[in-house]
Amino acid sequence: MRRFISNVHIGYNVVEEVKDLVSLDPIYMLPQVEKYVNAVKSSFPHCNFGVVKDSFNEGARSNIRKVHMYRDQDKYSLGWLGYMDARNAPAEYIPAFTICTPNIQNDKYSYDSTESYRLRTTNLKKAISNARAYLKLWDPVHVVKFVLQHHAPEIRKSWQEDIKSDALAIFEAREGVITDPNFVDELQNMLNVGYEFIVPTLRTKVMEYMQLLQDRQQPTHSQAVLCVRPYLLPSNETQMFDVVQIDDFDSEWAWKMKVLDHTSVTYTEDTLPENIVRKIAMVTIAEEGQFVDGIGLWAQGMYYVTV
Amino acid sequence: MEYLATLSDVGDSRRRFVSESTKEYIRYTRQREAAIKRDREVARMRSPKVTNVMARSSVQERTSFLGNNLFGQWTHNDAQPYSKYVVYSYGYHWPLFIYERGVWYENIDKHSVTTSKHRTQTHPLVDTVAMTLEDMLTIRDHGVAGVAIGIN
Repeated sequence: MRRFISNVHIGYNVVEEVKDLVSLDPIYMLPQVEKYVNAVKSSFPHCNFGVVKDSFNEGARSNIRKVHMYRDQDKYSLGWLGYMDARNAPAEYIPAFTICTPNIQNDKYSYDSTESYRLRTTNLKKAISNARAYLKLWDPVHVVKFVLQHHAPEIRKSWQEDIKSDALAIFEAREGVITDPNFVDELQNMLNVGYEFIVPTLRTKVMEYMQLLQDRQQPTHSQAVLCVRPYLLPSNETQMFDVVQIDDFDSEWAWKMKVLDHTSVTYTEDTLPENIVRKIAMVTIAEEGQFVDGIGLWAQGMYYVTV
Repeated sequence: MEYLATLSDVGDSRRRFVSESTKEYIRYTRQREAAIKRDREVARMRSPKVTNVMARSSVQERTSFLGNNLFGQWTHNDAQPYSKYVVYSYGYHWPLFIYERGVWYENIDKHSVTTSKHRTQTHPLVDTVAMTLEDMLTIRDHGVAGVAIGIN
């Protein structure tokens, strides 16, 4: 059993968004890459192989060293394969068949190095077997980790601000507060130096307002959240759901979760617990990223609902 | 002495000489496959023996067992973070049930009367996801994530 998931960011050097990729004719690939892709292709009949649109130059034939594998229906690519020396500062440049996917935990490298997501070999047969073993749907824990790394600010913002800004907005509207930051700083300074207000109740109101502003800066109490990834099995059209629970969703470091703490469970449409089904149904009605009060939201192809 | 690879090893229509690194890889692969096979067999033979009609409780508890041409055991692949519990009929070619991360998958293909009987005897009596033999083998080797992207 793998003991942990790497603490390294799953960056856009590991995966790409499918909308940024374009399918590629093998004539543009380096001969070794073409050979590798053609050998792997037969194992993945439902997958496409392509490169990032902006990086592609039609004039440069037989030059592409790195090809992403993806499915049209996914949000992110499954990983990439290529022929290169992608090591960090190698003593000597030795190109090899390389694959890179979040599913890999290469213990040869430090678990805080991006190289831990890669496997390289000069043997094509071994390279094909690596691709078959690791290029597949990401582990749900990786998906959650990736989304939290790259999109946590917007998800957490919509999650928390809907709750917190209510109290602040009500206060501001009721008291007619001037929200100019300079003015707010002045008020804070007056409190700090112990300024005596002419109207004593004003001091209480200013203190209350400052407290609300402070609350807004702080994360809300730690909240357990269920991250649900839906996917379909193409062979029999069964709808599956991977569910990962994160106990400290509000924590800035929630993405550094460990497998042992956050094991995932798979459900089918029939076995998915009723409360999750109900929450998903309510969240789906809203727009992407819009927080449904007390329920959750959907973003980046996943549902986030309260426990 | 030059090492002459077999046809299947080099994937070529003619016998030919192969490089040192390929020879080493072929040796390594053979040794590894043999070790995996030996470990599986040892695990199977060490499993508690049960009669086929009593095998269901072992399946429900997901414990290893050895019946008559019927056995269940946990499998683990280094490339996958999750172990799977698999019930086989007659051999590793015919998985009847697989348990992975809370879901039971059932082989709905038919092979023989006895295999169907084994399936009835070992059914865990919970909701299962119906799968073909091909998909069952993919789940065993790559997990349901492999079936989701249609690995051949």
